[in-house]
Amino acid sequence: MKTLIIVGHPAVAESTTQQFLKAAAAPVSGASWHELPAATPVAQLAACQRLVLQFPLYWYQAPALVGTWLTQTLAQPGATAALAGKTLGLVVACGQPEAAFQAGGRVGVTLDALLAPYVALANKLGMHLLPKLVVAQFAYQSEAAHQALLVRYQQYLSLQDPTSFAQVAAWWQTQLRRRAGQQATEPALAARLRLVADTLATRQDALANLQDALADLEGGTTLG
Amino acid sequence: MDEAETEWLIGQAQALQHQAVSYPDQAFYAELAAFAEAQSRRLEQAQGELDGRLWDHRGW
Repeated sequence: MKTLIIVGHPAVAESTTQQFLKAAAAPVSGASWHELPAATPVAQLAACQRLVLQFPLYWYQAPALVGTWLTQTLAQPGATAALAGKTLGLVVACGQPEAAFQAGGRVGVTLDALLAPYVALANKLGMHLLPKLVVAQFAYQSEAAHQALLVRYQQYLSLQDPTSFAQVAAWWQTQLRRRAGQQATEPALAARLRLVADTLATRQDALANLQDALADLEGGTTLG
Repeated sequence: MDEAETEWLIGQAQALQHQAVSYPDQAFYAELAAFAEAQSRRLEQAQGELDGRLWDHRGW
């Protein structure tokens, strides 16, 4: 999948969050990193399957860079047609805890409410909007949370549906087999990685069979 | 798909994490262990739901 990551942060080099995500995106095949301000020609929009708008919330909205990019990019002839049918992802960093963004919380509105313009944008462009990926208070997160974010972000950039457990499972198998293929000088490690991948695959097949059986029961089909 | 297999998977992931040199590799294997646990939970839940439905006398 070709993924365009449009980074709307006015000082990427000074942002720990953005530098972390930049490093996480680097090995993702097909993902390209574009720091605003930047021009994105229609040919680039046409070639991608996923557009990711990535920005911090400044006073509960995207930095002006993002709006300027949208205005300029979508004004190009053929731009909107080039994006139709593609997926739109949102990677949003915020300095408050996610729990603040709810009715009764410190912010008082949900993040989804603040991101409503992007729902309208996706509808207008005929794009499928992915659930957002939120990075809340990166600096306060634990090491385990950072590690989880790295992997989730890579999956967000590369999976057709990052919320699909089956697709996530397939991602793990692919990544393990790719790493195994890179261990030319360590055949024991390669074999170990392949065995782990095969075990995950067998378990995922078993899960799929169970889910099929449950669906059959719900549909009224008898088992055997 | 039993507990022993899940424990083996998690053990493999943790050992690989311990051996890994780069931060991305350490993160990958740490999350691999978490994924193996999540897969195990789903298997257990699906099997439990299936058993419950099959053995519900109201459906016989």
